[in-house]
Amino acid sequence: MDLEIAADQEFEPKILYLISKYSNVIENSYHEMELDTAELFIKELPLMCLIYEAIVRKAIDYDYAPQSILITNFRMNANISQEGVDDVNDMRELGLIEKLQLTTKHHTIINGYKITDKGLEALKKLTDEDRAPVDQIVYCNECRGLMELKIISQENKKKEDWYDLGDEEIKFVFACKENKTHKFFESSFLDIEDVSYCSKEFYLDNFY
Amino acid sequence: MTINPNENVEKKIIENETIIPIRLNDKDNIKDELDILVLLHKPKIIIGEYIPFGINQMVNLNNKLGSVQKIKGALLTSVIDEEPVESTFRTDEVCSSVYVEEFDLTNFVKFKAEVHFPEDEGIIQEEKFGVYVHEDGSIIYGCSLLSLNQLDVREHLTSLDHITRVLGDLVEDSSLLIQTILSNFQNNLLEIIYNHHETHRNKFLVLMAEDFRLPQNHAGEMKAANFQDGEDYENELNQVLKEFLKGLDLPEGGLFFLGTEGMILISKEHKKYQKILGTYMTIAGLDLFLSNFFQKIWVLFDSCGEIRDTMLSIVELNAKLISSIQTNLSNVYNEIILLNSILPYLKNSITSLDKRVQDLEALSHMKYFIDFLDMKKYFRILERRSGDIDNLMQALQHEVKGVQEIFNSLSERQMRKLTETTQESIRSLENIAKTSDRQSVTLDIIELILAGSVAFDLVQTIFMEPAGEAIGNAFFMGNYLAGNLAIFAMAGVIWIGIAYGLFKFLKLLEGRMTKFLRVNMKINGNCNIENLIGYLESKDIEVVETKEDVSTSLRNLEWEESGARWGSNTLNFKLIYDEKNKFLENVLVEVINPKKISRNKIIEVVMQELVDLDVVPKREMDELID
Repeated sequence: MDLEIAADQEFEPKILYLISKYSNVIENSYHEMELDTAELFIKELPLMCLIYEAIVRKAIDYDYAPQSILITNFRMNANISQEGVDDVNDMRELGLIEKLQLTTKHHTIINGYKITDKGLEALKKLTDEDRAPVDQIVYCNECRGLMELKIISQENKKKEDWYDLGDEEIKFVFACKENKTHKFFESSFLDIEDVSYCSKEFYLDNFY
Repeated sequence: MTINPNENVEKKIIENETIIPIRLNDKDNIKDELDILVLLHKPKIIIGEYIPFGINQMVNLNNKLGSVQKIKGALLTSVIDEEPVESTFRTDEVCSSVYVEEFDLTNFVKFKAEVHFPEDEGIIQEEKFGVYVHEDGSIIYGCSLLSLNQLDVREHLTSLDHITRVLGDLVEDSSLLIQTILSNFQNNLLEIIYNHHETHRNKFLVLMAEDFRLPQNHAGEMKAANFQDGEDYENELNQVLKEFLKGLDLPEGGLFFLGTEGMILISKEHKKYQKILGTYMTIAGLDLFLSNFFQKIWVLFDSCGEIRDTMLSIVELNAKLISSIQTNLSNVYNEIILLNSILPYLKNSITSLDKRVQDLEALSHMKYFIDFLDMKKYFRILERRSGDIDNLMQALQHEVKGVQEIFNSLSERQMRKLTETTQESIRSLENIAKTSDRQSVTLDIIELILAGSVAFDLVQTIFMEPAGEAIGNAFFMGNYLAGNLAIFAMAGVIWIGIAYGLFKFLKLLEGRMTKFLRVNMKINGNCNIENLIGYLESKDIEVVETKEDVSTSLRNLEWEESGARWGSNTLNFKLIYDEKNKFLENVLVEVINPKKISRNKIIEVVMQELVDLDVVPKREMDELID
């Protein structure tokens, strides 16, 4: 299948591959059992976290910057890749992924994404070399099972008692579905990087 | 020698401009290799937000900052003095230092702040920014970046990617700074609206620069529309704008970009735009605040719904559940009260902003820019949104009132159940007592039969079979049948004798058991307090208990009485009255092993005495007993 892609619709196919791992049917996919009865979508924030991990692990050559985001019912700063956000929009335009918008119990609106059949077709062009760096992120290097991306907060930490959240408010954690107590890694998605700088006070002229 | 501290401060800042670029040495902890697309010349960061203020909070802030003091400037910390009576304190946490530059006690304050929050190892930050706080709630933080991993130190060129890191840092640090100087009331408001994550609250960002460079392109050829390419440049700008809305080519050759949560202005003549930008930032800051406010209202509606569902789903309330529902309800109440207190501040801010938007019309030479921002329309929408809050808050109050009524009705139902259960228990005890009485009668009959059995066995054992014949021969001319009948009659007499003896013995035991008579006369009426005190003085009072509060003065007295009018009985009296309200509650009389005395007699004698002494008016006996 050939895609007609305009210059402003270019996207990183590895992001499509990432979405495929955590949404619709594909070999060795996430939550295989649930797929029998319902379609599976990946939520926007976890997707942004996956893209961030792909950037810091050099699987994707994109930038990210801190941005205020809503997680559950409170605000945090997270490392969001604007190129990643743009790619997701481009892939929607091309019909490779679908977006589902829903309201949370905290009255915020979130988006979920899933790969389409057209997207699955497009993925066939991806070589093993392209897939390998993404696979290193999403598959457990011991049992080769797909890693779950858990958002662990003070609200649900009792449910996820295998992870010691300590005093942290919230953490994105990749855990091996088969053996999460022993095999997991924390994402630095919410850790805002510091830069050295020097500033001087500035006031708006004639503000009032 | 005289020292001018202000001179030193200025000198240090001038030094910073030349020294810091070398000293910072490009230290950061960025994991990514950044693709530099946009470089800005002499960037300035301005951050705007809205926090409810008002005149009193403004005066309080000015006092806190020491605005009126001759020697200005102070170090600030968020540490709370937990021991106000101690003469000294220790702290290693000094967050910021402030220096008031200009103020009006009730209107505004303008101060520069230097923050000293801990950073990662190797990171050097000399963070100074100016803060402008106005009574209408608009707060503007601003700083010029003197040094930041500059690619060209001489030209003061800084990459947008690096600036976004500073933005992230400043947004949080400005929250921490302002929270140390806000009143507890304002901090509580922020805590509620931002769900205890107020430090990470979103603010409106503005980036200003005098010029820009594009390492991969010719900056001079780039128009605003070229940046809206849907790809690299737009993505780069979105790091500040969040969502690129529109761009404008400025007449003097600069560029302007507007986004959902930020703006970028590149112009050598940026000063002429600053008043307009300041007003827009205030509107945008209020917009962000209102969005969070609305979200909080929905969350409170949800909380009410959850409490109602919990109450309707449970079969019966228990003490733990009642306490948990009460706690949740009171939390919701507290939050609603605090949110309600914001409404007058919002109205004032809207009025003040309206005037500011109208004032901008005088800047006729800037009309193209004001029209581009569509500020009037933006403000009118905001005005309508804030008006809608009143209705929502009223609806929320009705909602919580409804939930409270359900809770009250459930509690009442629970109390009724409790009373019914108690009455049921009493009835059950009465039944047990009646059953016990019946069993006692049955036992008496069994006793009688047993006595008969014993009597017959006794006669039979003494006289045996031939005895009937012998008695018959001796007294009834050989008629042994008459002899046997005589023995039977004898056995009957013995039976009656034993039964009577047993009955008497049990009566004796029963008589030895303690009996108790208790009469509670509930007067619950006004009394003549002087006469009552006179009545009590005639008694030999043994116990006096007093409970005092603002409205009552309860006295609980106990004494014993005996004498001719009570026969051989000793009566224990307990009397409760309220001296302050001249109110007699009740008289309780207890008699142990009462002899020839009845409940009615006690009531009659006690009441007669109280009526004769004019303590209380005459009452019917039925009114006095439970």
